[in-house]
Amino acid sequence: MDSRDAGEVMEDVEQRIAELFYEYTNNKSEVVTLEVVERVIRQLGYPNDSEDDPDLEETTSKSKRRNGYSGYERYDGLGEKPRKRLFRDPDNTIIGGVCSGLAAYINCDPVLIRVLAVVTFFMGTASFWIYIILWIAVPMARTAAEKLEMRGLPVTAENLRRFSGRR
Amino acid sequence: MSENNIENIKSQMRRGVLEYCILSMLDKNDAYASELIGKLKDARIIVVEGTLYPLLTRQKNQGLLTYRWEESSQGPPRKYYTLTDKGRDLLKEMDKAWGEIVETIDILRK
Repeated sequence: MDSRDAGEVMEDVEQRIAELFYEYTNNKSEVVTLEVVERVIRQLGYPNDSEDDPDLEETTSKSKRRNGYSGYERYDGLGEKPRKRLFRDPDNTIIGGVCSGLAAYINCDPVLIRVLAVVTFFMGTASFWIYIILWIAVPMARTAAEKLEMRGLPVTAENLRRFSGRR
Repeated sequence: MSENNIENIKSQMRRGVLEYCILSMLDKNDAYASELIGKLKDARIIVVEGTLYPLLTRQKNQGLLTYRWEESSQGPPRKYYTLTDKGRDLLKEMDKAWGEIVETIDILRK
């Protein structure tokens, strides 16, 4: 299935989802509850229920491989370029998450930054104060969206889902 | 044979027949995807609806069926699928093939 077909199929599926939401909320309520969402998912199935299409499974795993960055969607060159901002990383802290945040920002291994930090601690007090200032000044990446921005990854629905699931 | 294997064979059989089912349903009258889904579910050939949409798109691209947009009383316009002449020809072929398969099984079972 090429991408043009995939787009069309997605449109059909989206339309069907809208139809079902409309039906199950009985036009009475404007609120789609989680219960309704789960019911619709059960009814439509998952993308890897590739009962009709043996190629489908292959395409999914292929696109996963292409994405790199442990399976996250990368910026595809369309739309707004994702912002990259300096945050402290709450999932990977030793003291204040400054080093891991820096590492995410310049895209390298946090251990490297930590070793550098410890080495400079011994060379003078300046680096100690820089650490403290960064600790105070740089915000913690609290939401999934901020954690994506910290790594310069686009804030897409799929990436948010992966990130929230990691907690 | 493992449970998984049995499921696999079953789903392969269904997969082969499903395209035929869609064409046969559209032979009698044109239909919305949701109507097709309803019938397929009643006939218990599909369990999840998501399997149908890639099939419809593929058959459309093969020129077996087309659709037109129809206004609906509630919600946005919907795709209304029709069989093309090419689809009708294929359906005739498949009707024949189906008859042959059923016959084969009948003979072998005796």
